Amino acid sequence: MTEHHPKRTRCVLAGLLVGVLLGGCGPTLISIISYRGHRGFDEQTLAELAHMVEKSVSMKAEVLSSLGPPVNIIGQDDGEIFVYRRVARDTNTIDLNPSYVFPGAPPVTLYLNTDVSGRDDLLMIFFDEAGRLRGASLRRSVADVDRSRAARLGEGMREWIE
Amino acid sequence: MDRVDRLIALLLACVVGGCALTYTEVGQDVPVTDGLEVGVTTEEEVLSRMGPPRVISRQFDGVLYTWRHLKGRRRSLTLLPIFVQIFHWEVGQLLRDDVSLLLGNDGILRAIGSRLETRDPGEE
Repeated sequence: MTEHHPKRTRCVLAGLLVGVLLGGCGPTLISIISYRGHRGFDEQTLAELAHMVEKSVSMKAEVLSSLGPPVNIIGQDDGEIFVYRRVARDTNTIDLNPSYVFPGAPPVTLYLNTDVSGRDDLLMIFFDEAGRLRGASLRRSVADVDRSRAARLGEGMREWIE
Repeated sequence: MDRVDRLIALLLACVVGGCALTYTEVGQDVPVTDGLEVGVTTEEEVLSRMGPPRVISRQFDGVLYTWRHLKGRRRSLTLLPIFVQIFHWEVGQLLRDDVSLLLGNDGILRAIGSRLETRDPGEE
């Protein structure tokens, strides 16, 4: 005659449930992840800004109408800084471990390569207390994909799928 | 369907079953600025027409009101999405609609700025 153990049964069922759930989060041999933020600004925007900087009497209202809303505003003691930004993140991973495929194999990593590329285009526009444009600062690196394999792969996959 | 066919069907189901689309949306469509006149429209009129802004930024020369709508999209493909994932590929994109109104210290509308990315058919 067998005894019924409800507690043990619940434990077994819970264990199976956890096992099934974890199965969906298993290790990945090859992973490519690519993310792009909103555009922020473009060539036309920069051309208009260059023209406004040349004039040297441009006002905040003019910049806002031309470039659109900034993604962030930094308050200063003597004015404000409008920030325009675009972010790009690319990651790829190759993780070869025999235990992933053969449960009895030793958990030894044969090869692990993770490549991460974080780049951004950043434009800052400086205003004085009266709202006059004082200057601008620009750094662009989103399109600079040749410096990283992750960036090349992420951009290449995007172009291919689009 | 014999046993081999079932096996192939099961294998195919496992391989192609890892596609996923995720959409994220924060906020509502930004209000239109039709009817607002720079140098004429007052702060009260702006707020009554446009509704409450998402961001208020105090400036030396006035105040900047911003209405915002974010739309994210993430697509992924996972080959063999059980036990061990052979290959995982994921692409994400964030689009953004922003409308900002600059009002002077006198409460009069000084400028309208907008960027509408989610309505650009090239980005959808």
